[in-house]
Amino acid sequence: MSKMSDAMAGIYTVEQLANKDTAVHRLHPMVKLLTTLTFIVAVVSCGGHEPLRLVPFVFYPALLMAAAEIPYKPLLKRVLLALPFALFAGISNLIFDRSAALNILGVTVSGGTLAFVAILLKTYLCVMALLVLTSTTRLADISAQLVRLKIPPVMVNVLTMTYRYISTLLDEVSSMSTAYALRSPNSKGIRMTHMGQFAGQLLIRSVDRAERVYSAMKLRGYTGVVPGCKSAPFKGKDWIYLALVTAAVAVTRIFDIPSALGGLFGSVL
Amino acid sequence: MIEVSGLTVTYPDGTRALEDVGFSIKEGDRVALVGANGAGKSTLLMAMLGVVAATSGSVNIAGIELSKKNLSAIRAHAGLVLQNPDDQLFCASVFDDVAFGPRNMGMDEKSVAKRVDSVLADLDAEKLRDRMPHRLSGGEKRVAAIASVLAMRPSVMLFDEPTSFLDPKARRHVAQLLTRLPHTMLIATHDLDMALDICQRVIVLQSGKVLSDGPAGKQLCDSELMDSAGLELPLCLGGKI
Repeated sequence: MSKMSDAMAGIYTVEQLANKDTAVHRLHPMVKLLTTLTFIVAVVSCGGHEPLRLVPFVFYPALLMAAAEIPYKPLLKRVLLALPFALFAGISNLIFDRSAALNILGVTVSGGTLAFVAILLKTYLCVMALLVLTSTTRLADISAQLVRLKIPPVMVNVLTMTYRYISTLLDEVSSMSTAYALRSPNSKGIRMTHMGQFAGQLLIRSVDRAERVYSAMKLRGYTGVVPGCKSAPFKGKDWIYLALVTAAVAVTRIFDIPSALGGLFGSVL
Repeated sequence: MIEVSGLTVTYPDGTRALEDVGFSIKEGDRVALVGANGAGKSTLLMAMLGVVAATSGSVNIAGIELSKKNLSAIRAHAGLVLQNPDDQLFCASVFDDVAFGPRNMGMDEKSVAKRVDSVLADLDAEKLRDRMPHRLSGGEKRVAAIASVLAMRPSVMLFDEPTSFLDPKARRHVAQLLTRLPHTMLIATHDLDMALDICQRVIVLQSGKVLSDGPAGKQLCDSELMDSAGLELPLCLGGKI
């Protein structure tokens, strides 16, 4: 039950953050979407054995969070949810790639370790960038921009509706769990023997709701094509932000800044 | 304005939800549709707009005969507000939900925004414009759902339990809202006090058939009729609590 409330509170927190009014929130949603996509492409395209190259990218979400007055804690908590997937994906590198790749103060670091760290860092950076985007831009604005980017409207619709009905579904699960707990006071949570029935009921209720929602859509003229909408043109500040962030991301991606800085300090020392 | 004749609906499992239902409603009339649970109220509203297929019978709204060919035309003339606003409000913001119908009608974005703002202003709901539907209170959701249908400028409004699950204040607000709308209305409801307050006429359904049809004051005061329909007198007339 408390997990359910926590999940609902978590969704609500991100929504509340997106409704703030800061310079970052006021930027055109398309600009924020494009810069986030550029950032993710740059991060993902970095070499699999170069975790150090990824370090400068950490500044992008951190600076944005500071400018948008977004607290770190709730976002970091959400990043942690994604890390187990990265751990599973990266762990095989540790096992299978044991070739020596680096020697730090006499300690040999394998290629697998570098790849593992790189996967963790990439996951952190990409998820954090997306969380910052959703914390500074309302979902309605993001989905409108996705349609403008020619993402198939059906996919955008599915995304919007999934998000829209998560809280309704959680409410449904919560009331079913309460009804179950009230009539099964001695069991902690739903027993495995009842889980099938519980999930089945939830599925049936969801299908019924989907049918009613579809009827509501048809009654208002829906024919399978989601009508598009125009959005406001870019302002000067949007262009400046887009140019600066794209340039900064491109420079960070093209040039090996950590090595350059290391070389610089090395020659000074 | 609305002509329903011999309307029969049989579900695939053989259940007869409506049987030979017929009535007519004049332009501007506000008519309540009452009946016990399972009497066929929601099915009738759905069948009138072709969401549920009728086995036989005819429906004519604003001169348009219900048929597969005329579905979009009839739905442009008559709007249905569903019982559960969570089924009706499926977009990421109230603005998008209210704009959904007008956009589907092919209106340009400037006119859509104008239409949405004017509908929300009519319902004193401007503050809901940029809110997320799932974060609204029950009463606010109901108002947003009504706005989403009104934005299509229908001449006929069908309501399925517009005051269910609402606290007394929100219930009164929705009831007052309905009296302010100039549309021809058919309101399926269990709220007999509201029906008595705002409707001139009442159609009583029982087991999918029209049991009685007449003036609201007369029908809802008839304890024998209410009893045979599985209903009770409105509380204001001494109905049991």
